[in-house]
Amino acid sequence: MDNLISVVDWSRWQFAMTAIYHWLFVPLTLGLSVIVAVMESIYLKTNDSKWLTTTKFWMTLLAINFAIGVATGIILEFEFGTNWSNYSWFVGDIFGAPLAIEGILAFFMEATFGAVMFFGWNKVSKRFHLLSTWLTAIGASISALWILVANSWMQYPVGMRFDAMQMRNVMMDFWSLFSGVAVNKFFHAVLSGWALSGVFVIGVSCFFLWKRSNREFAIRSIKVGGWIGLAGLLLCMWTGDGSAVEVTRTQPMKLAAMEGLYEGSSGQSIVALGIVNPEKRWNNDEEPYLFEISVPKGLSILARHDMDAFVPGINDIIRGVDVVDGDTVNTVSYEERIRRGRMAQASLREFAKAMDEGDEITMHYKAEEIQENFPYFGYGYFNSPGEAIPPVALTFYMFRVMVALGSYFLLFYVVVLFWVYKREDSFVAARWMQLVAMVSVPLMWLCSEAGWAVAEVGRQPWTVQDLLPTCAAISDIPVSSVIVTFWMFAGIFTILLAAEVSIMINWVNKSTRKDLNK
Amino acid sequence: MYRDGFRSMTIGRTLWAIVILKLIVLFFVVKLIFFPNILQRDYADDEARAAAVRTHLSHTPDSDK
Repeated sequence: MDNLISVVDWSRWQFAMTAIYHWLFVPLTLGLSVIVAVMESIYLKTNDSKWLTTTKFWMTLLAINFAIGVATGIILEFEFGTNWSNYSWFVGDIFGAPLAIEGILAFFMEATFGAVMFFGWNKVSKRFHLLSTWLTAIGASISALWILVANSWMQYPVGMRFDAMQMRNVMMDFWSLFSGVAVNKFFHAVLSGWALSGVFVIGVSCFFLWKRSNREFAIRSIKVGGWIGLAGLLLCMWTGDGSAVEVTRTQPMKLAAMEGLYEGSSGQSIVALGIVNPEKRWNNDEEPYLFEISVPKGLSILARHDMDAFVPGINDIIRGVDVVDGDTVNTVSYEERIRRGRMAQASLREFAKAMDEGDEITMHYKAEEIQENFPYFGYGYFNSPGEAIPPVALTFYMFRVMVALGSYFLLFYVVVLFWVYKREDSFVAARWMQLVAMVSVPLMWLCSEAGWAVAEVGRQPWTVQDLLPTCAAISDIPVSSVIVTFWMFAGIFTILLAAEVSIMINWVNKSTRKDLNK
Repeated sequence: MYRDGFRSMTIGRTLWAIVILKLIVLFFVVKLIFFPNILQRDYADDEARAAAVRTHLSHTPDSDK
């Protein structure tokens, strides 16, 4: 058992590290490709060569990011087959479909039109080149769509039926993959890429101003990047609100963990600033926070768009109690879920025995029993309700890092755009502001990664919500092999990141000595 | 287009070198040596793979007591 826990923990660390590094590259591609496409559209409309120069500069940074980041996500698929083989088999019929479509459709779309975009200047007409640039940007978002659809299905598994004979979930309704959870997650993630790239463009442009180089180019870039980034951030906040409502509906335990909320109430406040009590557990009487500043009724508004609505805490959910539209709803308690999960697993063992004996009648009967309790299948692996609670402190803090930085960047965009449009000379002279813009670039990445940490840590211990916890999804492999590959990937990714940052800095530095205003 | 594109590259040469090296390392070293598909490797057909997963997922420590 100790070995199993180690394998689970190391595999989770490995997956988390791979996903975190992968997500360093992805949002910049998603957002910068749109910014470049808008710049090229302006060039085509104005026929002004300075916009062509501007487009080519940012397209080069896009190319660097694309080249270094491409295929870093494929490692996640390697890990599915090796570290998470039970998971891969259990959900392969569902999870494989979006990933296959992503590979065939979106990746080839990106690769084809990306080649025209990067290599096709003077080889194709201006209009076709612009079309290719837009299709590359759209292709990147379509790629993200399929990945996010697959991820959303893990958080809210719908549209499938468990087949005990094949021992996997079989897709029954493809379109149900596009649930409210998936739609919100897609727009939230893609638009966060716009917000991130806007900050990146402003930060790099401010480096030019800091170096007193290419003022017109920098201001042009700040205006385009700023508007797209601001639009992305505002829409990201809107879809974030939609995500909060969906999480309340589909993953109430994640919402309770995000808030460190153990006992819910009507008109529930939200903690704006606080320190979680590390001694607090679901089954002790410790206070949940060491310190807190709360906004009255804030969580009820966030979660249910109703200032007097009840929001369940961790213990309410464990007891199976919720209040919807003023009525106390008795959902299924965690003790009951554990019992029914074990019943499903017992039925599965008896199904397997009947299979061995060729007893088709018993197989049919046991398959029906499994279906009855299948919604709670994963709870059967737990000995106590406490095992089904995500890490509260990490989820709580990451949520606040995301929201605090998101709010900061709203202010940042408004200040930068207002300043640049109303007092351009003053902005160019304000070196402290340029320094703030440059320092803000890594903070934007921190904000983006924190958002993913909330989504993924908050859904623990599940790989597939309610059906398969990480302890069951894992392969029977030695922990030493996972430790070796963990450090191997840490090395590879760190080299790639260092290469990206170094090539970008060199390119930008060289460009400060060129004239980009032609 | 591709040929001319490659010839006219400046910074792109470094990028392509990184891309090619990275793909070689990922697919021919990492994947082949360190990341076998466990079920494909250890079981002959889908029926055996399903049976193995069924055994793993239906036999919890408590169920075997």
